[in-house]
Amino acid sequence: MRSSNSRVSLLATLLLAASHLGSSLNIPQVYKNTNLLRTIDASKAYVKETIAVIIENTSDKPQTEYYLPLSVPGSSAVSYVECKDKKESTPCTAEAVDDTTDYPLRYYKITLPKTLQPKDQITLSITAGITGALTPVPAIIGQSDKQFLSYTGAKFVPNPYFTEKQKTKFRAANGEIPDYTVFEQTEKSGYIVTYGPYDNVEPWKTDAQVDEFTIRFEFTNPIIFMEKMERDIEVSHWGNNLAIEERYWMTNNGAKLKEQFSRLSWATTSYYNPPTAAIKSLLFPLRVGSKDAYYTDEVGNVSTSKFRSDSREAILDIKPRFPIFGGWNYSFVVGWNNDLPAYLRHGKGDEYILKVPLLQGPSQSTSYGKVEVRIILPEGATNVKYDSPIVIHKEERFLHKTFMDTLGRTTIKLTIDNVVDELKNRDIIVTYDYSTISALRKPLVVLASVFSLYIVTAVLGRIDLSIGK
Amino acid sequence: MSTVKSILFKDPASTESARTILRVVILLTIAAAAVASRLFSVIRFESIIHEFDPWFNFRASKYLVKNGFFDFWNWFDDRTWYPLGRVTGGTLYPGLMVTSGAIWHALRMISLPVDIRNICVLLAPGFSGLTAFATYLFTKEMKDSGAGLLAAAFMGIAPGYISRSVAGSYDNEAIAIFLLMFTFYLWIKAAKLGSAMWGGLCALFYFYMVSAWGGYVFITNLIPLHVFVLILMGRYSGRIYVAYSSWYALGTLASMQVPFVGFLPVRTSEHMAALGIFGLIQLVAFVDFLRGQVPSKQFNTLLRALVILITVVAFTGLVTLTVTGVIAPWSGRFYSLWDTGYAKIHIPIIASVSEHQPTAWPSFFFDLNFLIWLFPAGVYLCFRQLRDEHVFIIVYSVMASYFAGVMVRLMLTLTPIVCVAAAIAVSSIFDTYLEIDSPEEQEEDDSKKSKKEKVKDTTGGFLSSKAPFIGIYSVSSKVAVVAAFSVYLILFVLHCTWVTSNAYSSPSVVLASRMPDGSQHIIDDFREAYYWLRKNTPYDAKIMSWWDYGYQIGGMADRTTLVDNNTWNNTHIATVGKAMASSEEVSYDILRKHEVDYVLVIFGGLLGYSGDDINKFLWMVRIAEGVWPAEVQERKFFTSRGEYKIDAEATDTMKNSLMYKMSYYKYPSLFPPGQAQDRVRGARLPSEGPVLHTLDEAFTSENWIVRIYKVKDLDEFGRDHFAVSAFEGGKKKGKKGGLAGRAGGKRGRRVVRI
Repeated sequence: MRSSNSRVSLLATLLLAASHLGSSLNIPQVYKNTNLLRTIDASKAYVKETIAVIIENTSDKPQTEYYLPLSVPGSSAVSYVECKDKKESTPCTAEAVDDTTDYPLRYYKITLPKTLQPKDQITLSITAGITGALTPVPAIIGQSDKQFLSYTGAKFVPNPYFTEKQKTKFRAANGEIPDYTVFEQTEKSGYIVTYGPYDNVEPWKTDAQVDEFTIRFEFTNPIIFMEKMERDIEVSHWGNNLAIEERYWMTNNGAKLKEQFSRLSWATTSYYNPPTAAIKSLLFPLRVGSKDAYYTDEVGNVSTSKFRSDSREAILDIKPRFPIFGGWNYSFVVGWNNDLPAYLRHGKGDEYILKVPLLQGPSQSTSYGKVEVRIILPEGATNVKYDSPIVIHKEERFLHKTFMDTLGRTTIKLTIDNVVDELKNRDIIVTYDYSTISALRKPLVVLASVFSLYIVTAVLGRIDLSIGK
Repeated sequence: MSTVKSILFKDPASTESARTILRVVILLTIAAAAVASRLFSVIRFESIIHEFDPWFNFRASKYLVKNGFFDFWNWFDDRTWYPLGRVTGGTLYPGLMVTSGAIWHALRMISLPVDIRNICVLLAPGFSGLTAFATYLFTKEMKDSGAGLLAAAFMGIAPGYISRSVAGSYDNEAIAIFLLMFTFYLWIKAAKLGSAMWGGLCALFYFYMVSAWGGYVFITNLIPLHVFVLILMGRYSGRIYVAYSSWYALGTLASMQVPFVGFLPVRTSEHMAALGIFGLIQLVAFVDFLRGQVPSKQFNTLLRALVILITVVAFTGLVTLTVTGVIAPWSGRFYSLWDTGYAKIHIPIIASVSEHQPTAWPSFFFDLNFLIWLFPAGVYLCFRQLRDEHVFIIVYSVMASYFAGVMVRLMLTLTPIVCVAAAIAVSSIFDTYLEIDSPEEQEEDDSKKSKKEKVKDTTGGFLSSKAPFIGIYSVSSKVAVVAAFSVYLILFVLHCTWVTSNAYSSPSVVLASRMPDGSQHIIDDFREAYYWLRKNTPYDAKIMSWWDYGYQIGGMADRTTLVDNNTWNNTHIATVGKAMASSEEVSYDILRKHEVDYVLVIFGGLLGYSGDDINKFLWMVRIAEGVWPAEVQERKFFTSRGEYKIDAEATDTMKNSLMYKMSYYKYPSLFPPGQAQDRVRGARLPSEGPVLHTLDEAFTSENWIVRIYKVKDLDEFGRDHFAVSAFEGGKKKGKKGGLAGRAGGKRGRRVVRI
C-alpha cells in the first residue's frame, strides 16, 4: 500500500514537473477557426456542450492534432468528450491533456480523422457532457415553488486559436428565463439565448480579463444525481439466464426545501399533479424480453412499482417510498432477468461472445458520480477480453464466490467516474473461453458431495459404540 | 376374511422396516406441512421480519454475523436507551441469534451464501418442523408411534403455536418451543431409563433452552414438580434420582454460563423449587438407604425426626435468605401470574402489553379448535395407565392450563401438551374403532354373557393396573365414530389454515388493503417513514418515540432511540411518557435535556388504524404518573363526565399535551372546514388544529400513520419559542391571545442546561 502510494505521488510529481516545463501548454499556432458555433444545452440535469468548428491549417506543414479547452470551474467536471468529422461522420479521438495549470480550462487533444494539409479546412463537431455546472438559485425554495438554475460561462468561447467568427447558443429547459447577462449582440427567442456572432476573437490568454455571462432559467425537473451506482451483469450458462442488478445511491441536487416537508400541501396539490422539483418516480426502459423485475431497498420490497413487458417493450416504472426533494437521499435496488441467447453467441471452439449494454438506467436525465459494473462470468471462464464503448477508469479482475461455487466465478469490475446518461445503452463486448469440463464442474461437485454424505452416513451407521453387550 | 386380513396386515415384525419408512415419510410430510403453512406472509407480502421484538433479534443477528461472536458477547449498544445505552450482550438470550449465526456460517461453508435476513425469516418455520418431530418422540414415549404421529401433525399446524412461529416471526419462541419439547422428551427418557447420559443430554438441551428464552423457568419448575409428585406418590426410585440429579447439577451449572442468567438459579425464588427438590431427593435417597440398614421401628422414629428437623431448617433458611435479600423475591411478572390484577396496580408497563392480558375464553377454541375438548380426555387416559411419564403429562397439563388462562402469551406453552393429550385420545379412539376384527367370535350369539364375564375379569385385580377390555362389536358404530373423527380432523385442518391465513400472517409492519377493483394495495407507511429517517437524518440523530417503536426504529431507520421494547428502565420510559403527556414548555425542556432531534408519533386517524399512539396514550400517562404523580395526572385527561375525548370537548390538559398536538397538527386542514374526522375514534375534530411552537413537522407518511417532528433549536436571539411564534405571527409579545396553545405558567423560557 505504502509503496504504491509513494509511486503514485512520484508519478504525480514527475507529471507536475513536466507540465511546469510548459510543453503541453505551448500550443503551436497552426490553425485558425473560420467559424465556430457553441451550443450549451441545459435542458437536462447536466450541461451538454457542442462545439461545431471549421478549422483551417494556417501552417505550412500537414497537421493531425487540434487542441480544445473546456471550461470547468468549481465543482464542475467533464464527463465525456466525443468528436467527429461533421461532414463525413467519421469519429476522431479526444484525449485529455494531463495539465491543470490553466484553471479553469481543461485541454483536450483531438486527433483529426485525417491529416490536414496546409490551407485545408475540416469541420469538427465536438460534444462534451459537463456535470456540476448548474446551480440552483435560490438555493432554497418552498415546497411548491418553481426551481431556477443558474449557469455561468465565458462570453467568448475559450480557444487557443484565432477565431474569425463565433457564436454561442444557450438552450434552457423552457422559455422562462428571468435573468440573463446582456452584451452587445445578445438575443433571446423562446428558450434560446444567443451571444454573437462576434468577429475576429483573439486566442485565449490565461491572465486576461474574461467577460462572463450568467443565465438563470426555470427548471421544473429534479436534478437526479446518483452518487454511486453498482451494476452486476451475471451470466449463467446452466440457467440460460442473464441477470442484471443495479444498486443506486440517489440524491436530488436541486434546490433544497426552505421549510420542512409538509404532507398536507403535498397531498392537496398532488391531485392536479403540478410540475415539481422532487423526484416522484423513475422510469427504466429495459431491453425487450426482460422479465422478473424487482425493486427493493434496504428495508425490503417496495410495492409501488409497475412492470410491463411485452414483445415491443419492457418498462419498469418505480416510485420511491417518499418524494425526494432537493438534498434528500434515497437508495434502492432494481434487477431483472433476460434470456441469455439474445446476448451470448458461441464463437470458435470454446470461445463465447457476450454483448450487453454497459449502462442502462432511468429515462429521466441523470448523472452518476461513480459507476461500478461487475461482469460475472461462469466459474472457470478464462481468457477474458472486452471492448468497451466508454472510457474505463479502473479495471479489476477477481473471482466472485457465491452459490455452489468451488473456485469462484470469473469477474471483471469496471469503474467509471462521472458519467452522464448520454452514454447509456451502449453495448460492451466481452469474449471469454469456457470449456465443457468447466461447465460440468458444478453438477459433478454436487454429485460428489451428496455421494460422500451417503458414504459417511453409511459408515457412521455401522459403527457400534455400545459398551459391552 | 382372515386370508384377506393376512394379506393386508402381515405379522407386525415382518413389516417393521416398511413401517419405519412409512413413519419417516409421514414425519417428513408433517414437517413440510408445518413449514408450508407458515409461509403465507412470505408469499403474500415478502420475506420480511414481523412485529416489534423480531426487529431487535434481527439487528442483533446482523451484528453477530458482522462482528463475530466475541464482539457480540461484549456488545455495548450506545444507539438505544440514549443516553444510558444498553449492555446488550449481557442482557439478552443469545440462543436465537447464535443459532441463526451458526446456520449462516454452516451454509456459507458449503458455499450457499444465504442472506442473514432470509435465515432469520425462515428460522421459525424450519424449527416448527423440528418441533413436530420432538412432539412425535415425546408422545411415542407416552403411548405409541401412532399417537406420536398424530401429535406431530397436530403440533405442526396448531394455531396456538403458529401464532408465534410464522415466517418472519423471528422471536425467541421460534426455537424455544422445539427446545421445550425436546428437553421434556429427554427428561422422560432419562426418568424412564434412569440413565445419566439421557439426564446429561437433557441438561444440555436445557442449557440451550436457557440461552434462548426466559420461559426456561417453566422447565426449571415443571421437572422438579414432576419429581416431587412422584415422591409424594411413593414412586421414588433410583432411576428418578439419577435422572434428576444429573439433570439438575449439569443443567444449573450450564445455565449459569449465560450472562443474562448468571447467578439467578441460586438467588431467585423462581429457581428455588428446583434447588429444594434437589435437596429433597438427596434426603429421600439417604432415607431410602437407611431403610435398608436400620430396623423398621427405629427407622420410623428417625424418619420423623429427620423430616421435622430438615423442614424447619430449610424453611427458616429460605425465609432468612429472602428477608436478608440474598435470594431475590419474585419478580413483578411472576406476581402477575398469581394475581392478574397485580400488574395493573403496581407495574403499568407490564399491564400495558397486550400479550400480558388474561386469555379470553374464545381464544382457547380459536387457537386449539377440537383439541381443546379432547385435551381432558387425553389427560384422563393418562390417569388410566398412570406410569411415571403419565404423571408428567398430568402435572404439565395442570400448570400450563393455569398459566395459559392468566396470560395470553402462555397459550404457547399449553399448546404442546394439548396436542399430545389430544393425540393420545384420538389415537386411543382409532385403536379401538379401527380394529377390523370384532372382539370375540361368540359376540353375535351371546354378547350379554360375554360382557358379564368381562366385567368379572376386570374386577379381579387392581383397577388402574389392568386395562379394561375394549372392543366394538357393530360395524356401523365403528364407521360412525371413525367418520365423525375424520370430519373433525378435516375441520381442524381447515380451521388451522384459515386462522393462520387470516389472523397470524400479517407482518404488522406492512398493512394490506383492497383497492376498489379487488387488487391488493399495500400500506407501507412505517417503512416509508423509517426509511426517510434512515436516509435523510444525521446518523447520530436521536429519535424519541413511545417504546413500542424503539426496536423498529433501531432496525429499519438505524437511528438512536431513547426507549425501546426491552423495557428495563421504567423511569426512562416514564420520562418519555411525561414528555408526551405534558404541555410544550415542559416537554421542550425534557427534549432538550435528552438531546432529542426528532419525535415520532403514530397517528391512525386518517386511515382508521386503531393501534396508534392516541389510543395508547393513557398508558403513557399512567406510567408517567407512576413516577411523577404530582406533574402528570390521569384524571386530568378525562372530561368531567369521565370520558376520554379528543374532539372539542377534550380537556385542556389533553389539548395541550404534546402527543395530542403532534397527532392532530395540521390534520383538520385536510378536510373541508368543520368536517375534520378522526376515523379511529369516530370523533369530529375542532376545525382549528393545534399550534406547535417548539417543534417543526419534518415528515408525515403518505397515509399520515407516522408523523415525525423536528425539535427546534434554541432561538438565535435567546427568546422562547412561544415569543418567537407570537412575534412572527405579527402580534406583540405579552399581548393576550398571542400565546395560543400555551398552558399558562411561567412566561420566560426556562434555562436549559444540557
